Amino acid sequence: MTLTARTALLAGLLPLLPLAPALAEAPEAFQGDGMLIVNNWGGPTVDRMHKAWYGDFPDESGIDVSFTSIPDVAKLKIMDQVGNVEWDVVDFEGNQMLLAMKDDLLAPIDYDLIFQLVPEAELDPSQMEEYGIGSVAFSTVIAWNTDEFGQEGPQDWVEFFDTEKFPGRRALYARPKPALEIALMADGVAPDAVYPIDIDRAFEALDKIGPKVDLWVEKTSQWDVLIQNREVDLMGSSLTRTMAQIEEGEPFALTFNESIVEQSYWTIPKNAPNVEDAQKLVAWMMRAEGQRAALSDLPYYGMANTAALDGLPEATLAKLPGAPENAKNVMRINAQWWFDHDAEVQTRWLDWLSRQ
Amino acid sequence: MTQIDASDAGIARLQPEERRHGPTAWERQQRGLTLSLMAVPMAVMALAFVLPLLVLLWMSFGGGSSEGFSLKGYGDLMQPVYLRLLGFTLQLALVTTLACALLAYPLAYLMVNIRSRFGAWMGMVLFVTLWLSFLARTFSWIIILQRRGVVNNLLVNTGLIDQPLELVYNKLGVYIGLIHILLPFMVITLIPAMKAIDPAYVRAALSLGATPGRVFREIYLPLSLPGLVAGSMLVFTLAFGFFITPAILGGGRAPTIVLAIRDQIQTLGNLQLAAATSMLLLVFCLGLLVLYDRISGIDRIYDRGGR
Repeated sequence: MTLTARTALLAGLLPLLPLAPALAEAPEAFQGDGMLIVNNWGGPTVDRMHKAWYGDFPDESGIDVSFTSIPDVAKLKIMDQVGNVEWDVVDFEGNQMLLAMKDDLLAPIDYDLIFQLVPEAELDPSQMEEYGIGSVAFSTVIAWNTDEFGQEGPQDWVEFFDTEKFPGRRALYARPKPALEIALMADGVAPDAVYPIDIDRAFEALDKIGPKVDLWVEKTSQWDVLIQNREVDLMGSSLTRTMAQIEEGEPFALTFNESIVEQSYWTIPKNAPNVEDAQKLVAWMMRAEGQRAALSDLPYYGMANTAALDGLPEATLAKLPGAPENAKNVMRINAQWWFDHDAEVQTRWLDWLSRQ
Repeated sequence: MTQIDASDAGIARLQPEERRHGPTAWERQQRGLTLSLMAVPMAVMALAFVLPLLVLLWMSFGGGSSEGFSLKGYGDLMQPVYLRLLGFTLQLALVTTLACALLAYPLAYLMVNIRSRFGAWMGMVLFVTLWLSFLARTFSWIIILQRRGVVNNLLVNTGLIDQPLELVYNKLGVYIGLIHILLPFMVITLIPAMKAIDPAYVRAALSLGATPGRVFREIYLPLSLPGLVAGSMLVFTLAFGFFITPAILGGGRAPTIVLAIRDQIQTLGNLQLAAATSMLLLVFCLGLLVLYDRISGIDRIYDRGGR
C-alpha cells in the first residue's frame, strides 16, 4: 500500500481517534475496482471533509473516487433521459431528493450493506430514508458584528429585526427557504410551530421585515466577503462560512438559538455507472471514525452517525450544531413541505423580491 | 462575292454556348467544392445551434416530461411577475448597451487612429480584462464600491461626504459592473469597422470644405455604423442573458428573468417552464433584431466601411 496524501492526512488525524482500527483491508463485500464520481457542493472545506470521510476507501477497497459539483436534479434528469448519468453518489438537499424521487431517478439505499459495517444503533433513524441517508445537516444562524454589539447580540429572530436595540445593516439569503421561516419566527412563531407554513401570513411577515434587510445574498461565498469587509452588522448566514471567518479572527459571534437546520442526503442515481460500488462508498461514509474525523476537522455540521460525537473534546462539542446543547431550540427545514409548495412559493417570492 | 454571314446561325456561333445541357463541368466542380467545404460548418451549425434550439422548443411544449405535450409552460408564464422581470432585464440590457456604445466609440476611435505604441498597449489591456473571469471581476467591483471600499473610503476621508454612498448591492452597482464587463466586446467589434474606413474619404470631405463635425456626421459615423450595430447586438444579447453579475452586485434588488429561469430549473426542476421562458426570451431578442434590421440594416455588418 502506498502512502498517499489521503492516507497521510488520515494518519495525521489518527491520534484524535482512539477507537479507529489500524489500517486494514476492507471486508470482502467492500472490495471492487473502477472509479466512482461523487457530486457535492464544492467550496473550500469539501476536500478536507471528503478526505476524512473516505480518504482510506480507495486504498482499502480498490475503488477510486473523485468528485464534481454541484448537485442539480434537472441535470440528473437530463443525463438520465439521454442515458449518460455521470454521477455515482450525489449529496442532495431534502427537497431535491424528493424531486429526484418523483422522477424515479434514484436507487434505494442498501441498508443491509451499511449494517455490515456500521451497527444500526449508531445511526440516527430520522436520517435514514429509503432513497437517501443523511450526509450533513447544515445550519443558517443568527450572527452579528461584535465590534458593534459585543457578545450580547440578538438571541432570536424577533430581536434580530429590532432596529432600536440593534441598529445596523442586515443581510439574509435571497431564497424563500429559509426566508419564509425566518419571517414567521420574526413574527413570533415558535420554531416548532412554523410548519405547515401559512403562506399568506409568511408573506405578510416578509412585508414587515423586508425594508429592514439591506442586502439579499445570492451565493454562499458572498458571506466571506461581507464579513471581511464589515458590509453588514447582522446576518442570517451560513454557519460554516461564519464560523470559519470567526476562527480567522473576524469580530463576529453567533447563536445556535432558532438556527435553521437543513438535512442533506447521500443518494445514488439508479442509472449511475456503478451503483454497486456506490453503495459500498455510502456505507463507508457512515462509519463513526470517518464522521468523527470530519467533525474534529470541521465542526460545523450535523452527521448521521450519533456515535461520531463520542470521545470528542468539550471544546469541539460546544461548536457542533448537532451537540445536544446547541440543538435544543432549532428550526428544522421540512423538505416535504417545500417539495409540495415550492412551485407556488417560488413565483410569489420572485414577485415579492422584485418589488423590494 | 462573299457576304458576311449575318444569319442567326452565324451570330449564335459567336455567342457563348447556351446552357441547354445543364451545368458545365467547371460549374459542377465549383458547386461540388462549395458543398464539400460547407459540409462541416453546416453540420456544426445544425448540431450545435439548430438542434439544441429545436430540443428547447420541443421541451417548452412538454416534450420529455412525464405529463406529455401541453401549453402549460406558456400558460404558467402569463403572470405579472415574469412581465416585470422581463421589463427590468430589457431596461438593464438597453441601458448597458447604450452606455457601452457611448464609452466604447471614442475609445475605439483613439485606438485605431493613434500613431504610437500607446494604441497597442490599450489593446493589450483590453484583451487582458477579457481573459479574467467574470466572477473575479464582479467581486473586484465589490471591493471598490462597497461601504468601506476604495471609493467610499476616499470620499469619506477627504471629507467630501459624511456617510458612505450606496454604490453596490443595488441597481447602480449592477450597471457599473455590467458596463465594465461588456465594454471590451463593444470596442473589439468597433475596431475592425473603423480600421476599414478609408482615411481618403475623410481627407476628401475636409478638402472640399466640410467642417469636422459634418465630416464625422456624414462620413465617419455612417461608415462605422456596421461595427456599432454588431457591437450593440452582441452587448445587448450578453447583457440580456447575464446572470452572475446582477445576482451578486444587485444584492437582491436587481432580479432578472434569468434568475427566474435558474430557479425554475434548480429549485423547481420544471424544465418545461424554463424552456418556455427561454423561448420567450429568444422570440423577444429576435423581435428586437428584426426591429434593428428595419432601422439600420443588419446586412450592413458585412459592409467593409464603404470599400
